[in-house]
Amino acid sequence: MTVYGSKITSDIDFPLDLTHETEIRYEVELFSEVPDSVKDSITCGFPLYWAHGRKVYLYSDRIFDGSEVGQPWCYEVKDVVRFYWVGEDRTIYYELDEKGDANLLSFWFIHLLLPLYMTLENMYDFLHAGAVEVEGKPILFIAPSMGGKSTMTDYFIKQGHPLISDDKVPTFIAGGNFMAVGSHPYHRPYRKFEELGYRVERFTTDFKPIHAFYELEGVEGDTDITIEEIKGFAKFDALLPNYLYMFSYLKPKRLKYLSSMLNGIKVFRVQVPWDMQRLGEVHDVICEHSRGID
Amino acid sequence: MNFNKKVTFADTVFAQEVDGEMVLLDMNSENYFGLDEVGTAIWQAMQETETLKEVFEVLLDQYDVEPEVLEKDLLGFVDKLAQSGLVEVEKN
Repeated sequence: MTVYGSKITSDIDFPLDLTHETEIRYEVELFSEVPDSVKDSITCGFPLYWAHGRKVYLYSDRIFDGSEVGQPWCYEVKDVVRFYWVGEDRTIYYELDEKGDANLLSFWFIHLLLPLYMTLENMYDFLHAGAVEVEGKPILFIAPSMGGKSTMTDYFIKQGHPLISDDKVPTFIAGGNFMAVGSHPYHRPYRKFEELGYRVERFTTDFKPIHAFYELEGVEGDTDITIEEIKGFAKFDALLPNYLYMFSYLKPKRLKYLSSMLNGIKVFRVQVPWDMQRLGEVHDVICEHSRGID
Repeated sequence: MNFNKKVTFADTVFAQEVDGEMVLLDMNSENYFGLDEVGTAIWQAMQETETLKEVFEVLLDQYDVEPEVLEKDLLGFVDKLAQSGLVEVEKN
């Protein structure tokens, strides 16, 4: 199976349809037999976050201020699963706990563990955004939580635009371009714990340069749909909260990455009326606008 | 504050430009700061010169502004940067 532009080899069948084919950048293995040497090397950790009704912890053998070659890691979803890996190793091990099964393993592995692993392993920089293609060019929707990203992404998918990602967009630099990578062909335009959502038939197949960002701003239902370009620090400020896993040690590097990205890619603020009946209009305005960007 | 003082950037401050506006990251506080066009010009002049007097002269050449107004604005700006821990102004 392929997720996040990576070929995943696993000793467990995921109850998902991940038969789509995309470009491959990395290969990662997922195995169940955790070496004792890795388990034994874990000595300290901290609560990472609370997600999908579960407590999640991150452990290692040293105070967390970076990610190094040979550094052991453990990502624990309380009562469900523990994932282990060693820095720069492309094998991830798992151990199911009392409430764990293949469904939960696949959700946590794909939706949460892999993006964190790939960040710590310096494989991608992830943006929190919905992303689709418009005439083959990736556009990314950003918005605050409950700001309409999923609804907009869903509407574009239903109009036949290939999905790139419904939540976390992996990016990397190639030939001076900031590339968007497809995450996985599932989309969840509703709130429900521990589900990837419904399967999308049209999914991106290649890594492509990001064409534009659209910041969605909800307005009264009878307001005109407008699009204006954001520039300078305001542009940086709009994107910064959508940069995932903003660990302290990554901040200087990310200041450079994000600034460089924003010097080459335009950001637009779209006024989106809070009226589902007008989503078609918004879709058409964004598509037409996207076509006109240099 | 007088114009013969040296202003130095804190080692913990990282700067990048976006569309001609400077974005600063202070790793002590982990806060971000944005400078507008004029703030960016001051910041850049401060990087190329040693004393506030030199910064003042560079900006006076660059902008159509009364010297008294520039002096007041420059000192006010440097004071804000210093209060935020982004620069250090040489002590007497």
